[in-house]
Amino acid sequence: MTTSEAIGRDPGPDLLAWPLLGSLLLRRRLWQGLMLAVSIVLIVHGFLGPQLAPKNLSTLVVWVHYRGLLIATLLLAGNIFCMACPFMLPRDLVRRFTRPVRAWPRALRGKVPGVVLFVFVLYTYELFDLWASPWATSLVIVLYFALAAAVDACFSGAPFCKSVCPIGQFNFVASTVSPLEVRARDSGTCATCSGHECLTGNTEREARGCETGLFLPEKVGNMDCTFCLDCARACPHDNVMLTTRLPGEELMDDRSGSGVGRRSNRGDLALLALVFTFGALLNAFGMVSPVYAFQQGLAAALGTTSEAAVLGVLFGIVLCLEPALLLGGAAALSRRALPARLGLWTVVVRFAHGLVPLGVGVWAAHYGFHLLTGLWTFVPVAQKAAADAGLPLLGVPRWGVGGLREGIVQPIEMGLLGLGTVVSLVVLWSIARREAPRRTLAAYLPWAIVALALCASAVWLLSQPMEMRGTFLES
Amino acid sequence: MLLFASCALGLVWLSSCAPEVNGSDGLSVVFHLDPDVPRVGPTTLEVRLYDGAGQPVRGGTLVVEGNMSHAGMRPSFADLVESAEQPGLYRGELEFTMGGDWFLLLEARWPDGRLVERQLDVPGVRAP
Amino acid sequence: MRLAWHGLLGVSLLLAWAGPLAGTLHAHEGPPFPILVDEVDGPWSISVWADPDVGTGTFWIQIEATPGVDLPDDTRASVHVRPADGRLDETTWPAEPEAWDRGQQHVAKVEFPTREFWQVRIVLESESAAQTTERTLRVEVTPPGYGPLDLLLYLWPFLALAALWIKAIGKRRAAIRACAPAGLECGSEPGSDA
Repeated sequence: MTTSEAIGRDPGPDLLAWPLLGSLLLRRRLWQGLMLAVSIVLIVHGFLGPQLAPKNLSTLVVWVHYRGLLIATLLLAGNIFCMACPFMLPRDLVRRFTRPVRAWPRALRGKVPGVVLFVFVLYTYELFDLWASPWATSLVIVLYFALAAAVDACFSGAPFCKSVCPIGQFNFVASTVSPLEVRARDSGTCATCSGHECLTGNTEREARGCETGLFLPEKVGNMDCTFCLDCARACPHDNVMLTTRLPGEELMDDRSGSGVGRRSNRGDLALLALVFTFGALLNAFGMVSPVYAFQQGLAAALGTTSEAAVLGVLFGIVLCLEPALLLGGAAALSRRALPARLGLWTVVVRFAHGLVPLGVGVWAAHYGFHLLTGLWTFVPVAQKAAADAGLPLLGVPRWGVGGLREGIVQPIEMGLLGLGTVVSLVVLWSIARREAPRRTLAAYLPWAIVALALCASAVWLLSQPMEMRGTFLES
Repeated sequence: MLLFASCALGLVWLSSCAPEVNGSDGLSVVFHLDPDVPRVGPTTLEVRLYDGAGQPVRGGTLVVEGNMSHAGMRPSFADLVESAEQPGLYRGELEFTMGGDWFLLLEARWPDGRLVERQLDVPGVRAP
Repeated sequence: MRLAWHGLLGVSLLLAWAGPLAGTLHAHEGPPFPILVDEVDGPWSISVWADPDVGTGTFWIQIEATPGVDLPDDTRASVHVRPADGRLDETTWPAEPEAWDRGQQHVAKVEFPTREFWQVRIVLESESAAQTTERTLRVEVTPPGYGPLDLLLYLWPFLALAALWIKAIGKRRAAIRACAPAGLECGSEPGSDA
């Protein structure tokens, strides 16, 4: 009997079995090839095209459309952008020659390298105004390609995806609220399987196994799953499905999952979840008017004109001090209700994942705003780029096209934020119930207050007038 | 990490570049915004064109496209009309729709058909 | 079921912030709405969209050609307003022409000092066509931003989604709790850990 049958759950539709969609989803190289072609266009236009952000495909597509579509597909489907990741094509090509056998260093396993790089990307984005520089944006794309190839050329498995790639870590966290999941169709079939091809690969089918080390029968949720569907291609029993599920439910689930382990034991996963959530607020803070007054005040107080230093302090406040106070306080209060005496960090690790849906709501509101208000802006830029390349096939550029009006998009932002908050409140309740079955409310309330405080700060942020400036230390 | 660090160094170099208002063709453009400290909302833009001899250029056709430095924002457009009282002075109204850094792309067509393009930076437009 | 009730509390919170939100979100505006649609008069087919906020209200006057008649190039538009109770004199606001694919669009920015019903007169003139026409409308001018009901209208899809999710997750957790005593590995409730 499968788990689904045991709890009366419909196993759900198998998207891989759908006539056209199934075969398209399994053609990963096709999607990667398309994304590689797009990446090449962006890189070339970023380096050689006009160095004006709104007129260049590199800045426009990366910072407006890619980010918006990324979060939209994560919310509406799953980790589709990892599935179609173009960085994997040159990486796989390099691997044909290097054939790495060395394992990724134990000290670097887990999410800490990815978290550090994620913060680094957020920091450089603000410091160097990557959003305003086509050249720099193209350089970042090239560096992603180079880093993926360099890391995976030297080490076996997929350490770049699992531990290094900042985009990948973002996608892993956000995909915990995705409605799709890759899982075994029938656990009975897995129980009788001796080859474990989903993990080890299938030479007959020339299919590799899961490179992030997820053994399908023991996989729990979407964490570390790139939706590459290598497991589906490798399974000799065709027992792998891409199916629907309840978004966010895995955040309540503390079973030990293959390749991930038990969430409540993974401090690095909790760190990633927290940086994801607080980073969402920080990234949104960077584009509203009060940030400049705050930074100027900070610069005056510190007696410095160094943007790097002021930005570093701001990052320290939002990513270290604020979480330490809020989460430390909540953990101190809620641990009184827990049956076992636990350290503050241990309590934080257990509850941290409850804040992820709220973080997803903030990212979705922010990136959704840019995507929806600038939805069609790529059209004239693509027309101009084609004309400049001697291919005026797309007609005369229609400058002036935009997207939805801000007034229409802002309620959508609030709706996404509200939805994330509601899911966070419910997930936190479920965690509190698991951790403190007898005094659930007492364990829950401090965390609910933290979630509501973060939500209130996000509402305030989204209600501020937008102001996107490159420098803040000048009048 | 080394790769990202080299990226950072590259960006430091990049950020030191700045555009010029006056081009190598000897033509110069002087512009003025009203209000002086630009704010979100309609703004009067005055442009004076001078030829290589420093004489005002009359009878030109000027179009301005305002963009934010962040991609994905709808641009604003303005046609500048030459003042009847002050030849060589072109005036129009442009709408800054959002606070932040803007740049204006000025396209000036000379009476003899020559086309001159300039980029005018307007940093720090204040939010309402 | 406690989970479901708890989730409903979350939805209530979502609703509860709709009130204060309406007052604080000064960047928010309701979308413009049509107050006149395809009214034909002389050479003009006129539509008017309005965003009548206290402070500065905006009117978009869209003019298309009527069948078989060219649109006069020298069409001028203006908006004339006064409070519906007539206590103030009428003020006049010119409408500036703007590019529009389907004909001509004229945009007028009008100052409305108070929240109340206003009488709005739209006037079109063309010397070449020797035509003048006007339409008088009654428009309620409201403060900028959304009212609580507007927000509720915009947010209802999210509220419905939240309610559906809460119902589904409540059922799922109940089913998991029910199967846990049977020793099945089916969730994260106490006693069900692998």
